[in-house]
Amino acid sequence: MEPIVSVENVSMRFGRVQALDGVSLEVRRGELFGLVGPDGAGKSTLFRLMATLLCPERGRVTVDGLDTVKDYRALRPRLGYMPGRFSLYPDLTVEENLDFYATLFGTSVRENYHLVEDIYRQLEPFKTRRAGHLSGGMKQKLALCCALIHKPVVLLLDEPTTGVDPVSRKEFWEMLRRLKEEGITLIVSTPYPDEIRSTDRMAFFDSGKVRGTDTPAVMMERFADILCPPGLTRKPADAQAEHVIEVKDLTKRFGTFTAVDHISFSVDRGEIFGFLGANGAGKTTAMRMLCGLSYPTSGTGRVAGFDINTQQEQIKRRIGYMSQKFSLYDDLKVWENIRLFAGIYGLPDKVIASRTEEVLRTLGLQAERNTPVGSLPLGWKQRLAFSVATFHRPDIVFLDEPTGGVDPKTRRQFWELIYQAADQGTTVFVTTHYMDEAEFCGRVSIMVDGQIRALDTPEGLRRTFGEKDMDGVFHRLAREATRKSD
Amino acid sequence: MLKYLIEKEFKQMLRNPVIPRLIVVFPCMMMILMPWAANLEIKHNNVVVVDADHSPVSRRLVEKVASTDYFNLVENAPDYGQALDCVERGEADIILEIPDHFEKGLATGRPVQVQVSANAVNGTKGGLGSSYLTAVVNEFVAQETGGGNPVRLSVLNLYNPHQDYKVFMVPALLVVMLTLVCGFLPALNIVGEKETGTIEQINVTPLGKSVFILGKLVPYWIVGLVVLTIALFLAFLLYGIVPSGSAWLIYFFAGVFILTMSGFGLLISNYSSTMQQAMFVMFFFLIVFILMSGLFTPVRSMPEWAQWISAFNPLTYFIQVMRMIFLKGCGMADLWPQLGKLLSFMTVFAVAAVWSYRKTNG
Amino acid sequence: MKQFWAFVKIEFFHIFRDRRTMLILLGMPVLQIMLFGFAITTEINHSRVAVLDPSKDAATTRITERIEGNRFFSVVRELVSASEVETVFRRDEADIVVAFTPQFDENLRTGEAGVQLVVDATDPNTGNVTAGYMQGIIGQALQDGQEGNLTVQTHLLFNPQMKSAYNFVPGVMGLILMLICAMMTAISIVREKETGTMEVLLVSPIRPIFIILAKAVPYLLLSCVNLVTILLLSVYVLHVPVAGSLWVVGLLSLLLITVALSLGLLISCVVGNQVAAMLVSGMGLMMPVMLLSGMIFPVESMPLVLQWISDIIPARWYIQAVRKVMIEGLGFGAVWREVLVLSGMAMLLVALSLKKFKVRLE
Repeated sequence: MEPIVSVENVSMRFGRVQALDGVSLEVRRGELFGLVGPDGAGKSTLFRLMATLLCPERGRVTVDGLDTVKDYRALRPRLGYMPGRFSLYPDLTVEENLDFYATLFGTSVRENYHLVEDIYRQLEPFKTRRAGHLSGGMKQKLALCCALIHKPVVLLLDEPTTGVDPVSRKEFWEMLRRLKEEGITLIVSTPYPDEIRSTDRMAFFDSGKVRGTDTPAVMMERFADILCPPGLTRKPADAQAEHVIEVKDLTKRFGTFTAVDHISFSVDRGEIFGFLGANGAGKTTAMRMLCGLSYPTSGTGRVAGFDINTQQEQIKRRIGYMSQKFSLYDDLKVWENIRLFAGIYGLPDKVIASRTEEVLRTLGLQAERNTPVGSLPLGWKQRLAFSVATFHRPDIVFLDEPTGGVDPKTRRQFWELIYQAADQGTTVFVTTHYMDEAEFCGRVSIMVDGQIRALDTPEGLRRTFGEKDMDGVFHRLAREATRKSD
Repeated sequence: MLKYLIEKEFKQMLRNPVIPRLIVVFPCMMMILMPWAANLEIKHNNVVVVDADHSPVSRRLVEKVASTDYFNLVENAPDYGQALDCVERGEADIILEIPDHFEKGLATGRPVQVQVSANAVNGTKGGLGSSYLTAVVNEFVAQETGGGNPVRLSVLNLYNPHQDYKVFMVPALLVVMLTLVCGFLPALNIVGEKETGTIEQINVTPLGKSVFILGKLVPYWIVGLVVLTIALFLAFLLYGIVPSGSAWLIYFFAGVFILTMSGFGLLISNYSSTMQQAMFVMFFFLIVFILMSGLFTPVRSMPEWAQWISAFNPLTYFIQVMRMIFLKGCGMADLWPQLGKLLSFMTVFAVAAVWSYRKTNG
Repeated sequence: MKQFWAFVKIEFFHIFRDRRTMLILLGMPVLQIMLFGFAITTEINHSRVAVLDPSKDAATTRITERIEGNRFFSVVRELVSASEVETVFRRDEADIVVAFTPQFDENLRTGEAGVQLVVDATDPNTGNVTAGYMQGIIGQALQDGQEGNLTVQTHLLFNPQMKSAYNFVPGVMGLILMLICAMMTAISIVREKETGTMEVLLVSPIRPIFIILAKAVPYLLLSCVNLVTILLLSVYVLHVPVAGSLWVVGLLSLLLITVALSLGLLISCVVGNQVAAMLVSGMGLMMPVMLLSGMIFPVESMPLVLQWISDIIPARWYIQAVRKVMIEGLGFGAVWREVLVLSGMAMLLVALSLKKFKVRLE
């Protein structure tokens, strides 16, 4: 079969960083091709080269027989491109965003509605809401719809499903397969093992070089240490019957929309509590109330012994928090970030200095202590953020999708940190969209439409619902979602 | 705790690609360019003469006009129409028309009418030019006819004897500079943290609201004083302008004023959701503040409603203070009323900034 | 074409949905016109006079009454000794002191009578104008009784009431057009770069030139709305008539808008984020336009170097031309030079910005 995209010996350098180093690659017409590799391996640069947005320093890229440098004008109308950080217009509504992109690509929503229907259906209740007010995962879904609304010859998707819940990811890949049937060539990068397995062929990238190109089955085996690391095992911690989080009928309304609807649960000291749910189910809203970042509309609760309605500031003294949106200061160095937050919690200088060394050693970041956080790879940032959130030895640490967008190996390293913290007696409250991570938790709750539908150990849930893994349990429950318009 | 916050703000400020340059370049630009440009002084009034008399007396009058510092004789026009052309082309500002029986009229005592026509698009320039020219003509006629004006009329210019406009503007420009630097930077600060999401991480810590705001105020306070120092030094170096009052007093008042403005900036930042919004809102207020402060034109010339706005404008008082210290050499004793007002502004803005900062949202 | 209009539409949504920014964009011209028209007057009103009159005879009383009767002046204090003069100024209680010599009336005949005017020359311009007016009033009061055969008739061309609004309206027009077109275009393009939507737009089938045009159209319309607002306000509220042809004013404005739009585009090509775009347009456009364009400060009073700089500021030519057409009522023939200069600048900038516009990422 003739190649539709060919990358010939391409090199790219940004300042001191060699982003791509002699990369060659061929993608066949009509193929669903995967680009896989750790963060910072050069995948996004390659996407931009193929999208005609960058000119290669050395080598040549041709797409559909056209050179990306010379023939970019003729080529652009044949391309579809969704950047890693696909941006919507935050002040346009959901509907207007989709409409705009459809018009921009020379088509209309009506003509191609069938291409995006499965995912857009979930957004439809919110179609008059501004994109800027959607939750992270909902934004990503809308971005997917905007990218898929037209039928280009080649569709380039740079990590399209980061932060999207498992049910929607499955639907998204259904849509990709349908596009493939229509003869569209797709190039997708992804960190999820199940998605990697769905590609026809894939290339594995590392530090700007292609380490190999083959079918996923072959590659998964060859790079097993990164792509499918062994699972973690942990003895169930000694149950301490002391509730550090106790919530009753917690409710949050925005106008007429009930984001969190009378939830009640409790978490024991030293437990790892998984807080699962589809995008928009209300996880982040509930978590923000527990952390004292927003006032509940009604309901009561105690976190670390303090009332969530009245004693937010006391709660904040006892907890650590790591948000979905990575939020350390990018322009401060690694040690400066640690020092700042440690200082805010009132730790004395001496303790800060010695504990900083300890943390850097644990993270293996001694060499990077003077690196601005903004230039660290994502996986390192996440582990650093976790260490900062637990630096003052809080009773509870809240983690909101802490491992979005990184490869399986890096995620495993992150969970080793979580286990360490839990072993020291810290309670961990975590949300995630990775069902393998859900298996690592002591107990798991699943939220649907603002309510908790199930709460048990992973084993117990599997038994109750008769599914072989958490993925099955989650799909079963999340498909019941009927959330209507706000 | 405060120590760590201030340390952080400084590191961020110094690593910002724009701000350190701004802190140095901005005062230099302001001090080098502004005093020359910000000049409402009226010089170079160009006169075109229509002399229908062509007599020795009329020529003497023209010579007298040309010999003053104030007027510049540019042309003789044969008639009024061509003189007007001259004004329309922008070559002349004022027309002096001498009638054909000028000499005879003066000699015989018959009524003579000299006409002065000034371009009054710039009202002040036109008004002042025409009244000066009238005075020159009157004086000339009085001399010619021997009448003489028995009253000696003299003018004494206090505080700025050389009538140097720069001496007047430099103290006020210092104020504008501090306002811009210490108003805009804080206004963009908190809202910037909102946009990057780092504010969330701060909000979930037990950090007190007033400590947080203080941690934002102190760095700008120091930056403001640095900017002031650079500018004072430049004012001395370039124009030889030194305050005739105490320099410490200037720093004291500047300290109060900077806290006032940065408090206001943070207040706006708290209420804005994007940097663009914060920028425009701040811009709006600064235009009002600067224009209504008596910077260019005296507050007393304004209508009453405008004077009320000026009364609620911190800049008004700080500009008064700066001019009083710089030019009149006033000491603390003369400045109590201004100090009281500036302190109240400072308290109101700082308290409002703390109050409007929300760690827990609805 | 459909893509183009969809683009224009979202750009409008963007403007309309940020209420605060929109209010400021539309309110700014109103505010500026009101402030400049009513509040910022370079005229001297309500000057406070203190009189030092040791003789208190018929002549001095007559003069004092004359002063009191003038609309510019009000006598606020009577001083008893010369030592009080300094205090009055330091406390800022008067702007001018009129000091008569003792036995004024008696000495009037002998020529030994004298009047000294002491002014607060902190602000040289105000000081000058105040002294000038005062000299005129006293001179007239003294001449009252005497016979005179000379009358000087004063004519204030174009602006007989000497309103400062006549001078400011064209300036505000220039400032607003420059600001909204250039700054907003720059910000809105840079925003797309910053959020990453530019990547998608570039790869989409829409031609880059249409992206640029679509960004320009809303701000073009917005500036037209502002222009109309300014003109309506100035005619009906400030009573500044449009003396010349509205079409010529329109043509000039269109030229300036083109220049400003391409300047904005150029700025967006060189800066990477919104804050930098705001600072560059704020510092690089606002300041020069306000200071060096002749909007507030007359260009001819500046040193030569600054006059050269002001030659390259588009708003300077625009303001100059609009003053001629709108206020002086001259026709196209009088402004062809300005039109030529502006067209040249427009062509240069359009060519430059189109050449600099990047169709790829850096």
